[in-house]
Amino acid sequence: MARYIGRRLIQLIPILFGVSLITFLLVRLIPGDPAISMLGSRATPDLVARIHRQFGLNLPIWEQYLHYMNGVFHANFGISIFYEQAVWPLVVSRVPLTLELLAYSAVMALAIAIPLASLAAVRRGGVVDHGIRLSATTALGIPSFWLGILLILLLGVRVRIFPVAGEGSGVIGRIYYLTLPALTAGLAIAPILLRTLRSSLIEVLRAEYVSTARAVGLPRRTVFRSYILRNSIMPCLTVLNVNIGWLIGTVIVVEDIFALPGLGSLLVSSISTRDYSIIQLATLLFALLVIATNLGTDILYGVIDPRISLARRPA
Amino acid sequence: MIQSQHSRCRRAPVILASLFVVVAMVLAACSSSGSPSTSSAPAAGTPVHGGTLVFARHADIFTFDPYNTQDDESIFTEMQIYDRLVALSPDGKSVVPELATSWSAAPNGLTADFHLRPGVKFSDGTPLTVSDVVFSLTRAINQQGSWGFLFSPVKRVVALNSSTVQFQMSTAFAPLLAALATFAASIYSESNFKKWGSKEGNHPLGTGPFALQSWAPGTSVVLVRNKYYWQPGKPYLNKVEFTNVSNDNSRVLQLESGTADIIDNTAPNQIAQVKARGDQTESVLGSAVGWVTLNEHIPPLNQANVRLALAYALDRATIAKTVYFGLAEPALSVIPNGTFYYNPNTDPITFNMAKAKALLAKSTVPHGFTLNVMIASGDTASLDQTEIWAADLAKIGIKLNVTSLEQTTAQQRYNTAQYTAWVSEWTNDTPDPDEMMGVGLVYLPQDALHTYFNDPQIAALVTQARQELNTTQRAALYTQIQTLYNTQDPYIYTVDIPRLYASAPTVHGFMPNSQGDYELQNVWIGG
Repeated sequence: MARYIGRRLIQLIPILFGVSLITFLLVRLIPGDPAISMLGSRATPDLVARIHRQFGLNLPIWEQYLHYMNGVFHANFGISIFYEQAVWPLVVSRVPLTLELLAYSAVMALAIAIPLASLAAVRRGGVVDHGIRLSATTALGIPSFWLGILLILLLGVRVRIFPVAGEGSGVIGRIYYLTLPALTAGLAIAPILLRTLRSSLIEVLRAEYVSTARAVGLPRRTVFRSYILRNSIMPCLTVLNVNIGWLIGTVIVVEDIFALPGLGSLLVSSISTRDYSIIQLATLLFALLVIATNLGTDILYGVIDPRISLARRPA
Repeated sequence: MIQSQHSRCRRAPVILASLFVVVAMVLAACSSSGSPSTSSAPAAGTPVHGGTLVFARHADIFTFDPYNTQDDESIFTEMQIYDRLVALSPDGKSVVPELATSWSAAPNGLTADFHLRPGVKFSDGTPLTVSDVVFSLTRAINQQGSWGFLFSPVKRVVALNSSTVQFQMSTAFAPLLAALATFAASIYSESNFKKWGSKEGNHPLGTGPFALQSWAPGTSVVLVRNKYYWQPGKPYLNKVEFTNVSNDNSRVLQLESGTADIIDNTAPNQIAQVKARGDQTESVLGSAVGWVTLNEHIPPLNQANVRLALAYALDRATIAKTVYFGLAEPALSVIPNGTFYYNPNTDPITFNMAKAKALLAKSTVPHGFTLNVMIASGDTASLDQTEIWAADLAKIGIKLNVTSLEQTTAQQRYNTAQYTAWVSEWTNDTPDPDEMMGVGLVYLPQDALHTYFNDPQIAALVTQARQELNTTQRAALYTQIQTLYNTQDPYIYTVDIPRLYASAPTVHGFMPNSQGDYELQNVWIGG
């Protein structure tokens, strides 16, 4: 296990290296640079040249990359051109909120998907099943930016149950404040999980060991929890893992609607201002997050399904 | 009523001296627009002290250092923390005393003396000295900075004695007073600046109504009452919290739910909804005007008749009414309608299809042509406006080919003159017309804002007006420029665009001026 994790961590290095190179080139390929974004129509060639010199943007691109990588190896991710501050504290301070929101959204999605999928699978072909499947397909078509506004309007303005903005403090406060955002993001991904889980549940329901368990006379509840659900949850986690990138995308939108100062909203505003150093670090952290989630899911497989032995699996 | 309460604070012991001051007077010639209009209930009752105001804004700030400031939110925040020698009057039509109580200029205009208000203290209790003023303004006039151009003929700022500063100029410079009212001429503490060194941008110390308590980048800026503020009894609020809410709908919902007391950048189509819920709206016209900028290097835009035909075919009244829900006003000059020396009676270009057709007939493309128009993506107002324009242009054979590009990309294309026509807006930083005309109507330093407009007569008049200290004569020059402009038209002016705010009914006295100064020292919360 430890060796496996170690190997996976070593694999991280070339991936992060690649991500950093691609991001570095990509932000510089977008037309319009920080000086233009900063000065707008006041961008005289003199002023633009001065800002370029100040932030080393006048150097050849390979030289800029060397400077950047040299900084990275010294834990220096550069200076934000707009904030004129080191980007590391600026960006890292945004990470916890986004992580919490992501985790809460995933929990919310599972909390919606598992009971509904179970119900639909057990009542397969019935009205309930069709109703749930139809709702899931509809929910899949609702854009988060619209759903979020609707939830604020209903539960924040009309009936004032939840706060419309802010991040809350303390564990309880944080959970309370993040409920609507997490529900918005969770609802975006729940239909996908629901559909996967429903079909794998149906498959397991037909399995012989389930029939055996029932024949032996185990209580229905025990059969469902220990035999059916546990065996069906694996594909669901795989789908959640595969869609983590999409969930991150949704969370970025949600942060904007709920005015949450997370990593996503910082990335969006930095892309429009072309604050290169922030974009680079934020993208790198998001990439790291996706990789970490993948690794985490792989480890979780082993916990949920002891048949999967990580150490022996070809990496 | 808000206005009268507002002006009380600035009346002070005023001796409006000398030529500079009369700048204000000439504005009698100006139109009545440019002053903020508001649907607020009058600030009834006596102001109440205390309370926290939550102000949700669409963007974060970046710095508190005026020298490095580029964005509106930083500018507007600095306006609350720092004072300047002079300020724009509440109606936006004149310049009134702030940290200077009076001023005078030498007859040749090469020097101007400002006398400082006695007894002013910074928000930490230390006294404001003449050296703070000289230090701040010496940084402001530095031509290396991006705002140095506002003060370009000023060679140096010196202290004549402990209460007088003198500006020394290479030529007479009429726009000085207006430039000194901008955020770029903010006065801050020299010792505090030197103490923080390069981190000064995060640790402002000024004499304004509020002082910085905390700033969490991307989240909020919290200001607290400056207890040493020189205006007696003000500010009323204990605290102001600026929050960062980039989503337009979310800001309105925050106002409706009571999370925010004031919101900025309200979308025009939401104003009716906000009013219907009993909230107040503040529409501030005067500092921004919509433009379609034309690149004269692309034929047939090099012909004045073609540019004018395009301009006469623009139905400004319909755009103001449908695109801006009646909150904008049809533009009648190339400068925003709150600009000093704005003159709407200079034979302005208005919607007239017959004239457009006749003008086009006199050009080399009498039956029309295809015009490429660039718009920033997501700018629905510009897009809607362009559709209205395209429908009318089609009647005279001109076809519009519209391209939407991301904001900074579009800006880059424009700055490098890789565009044909660009739908944008001009925003004044100073109420003096010299800012716009000095870059937009003269060829240097930016190819007349990348239009390549080159009219020696207009350029000469702009230079002459800059150096003309007699306000009557200066007004005559600007009238002449605006009249000539309407026969050339490098920028098609569209509508005067308002800044739109909305506030809860409990907010009293909120009346931002056309420069964007929120004037929060006059705001109080109650009932």
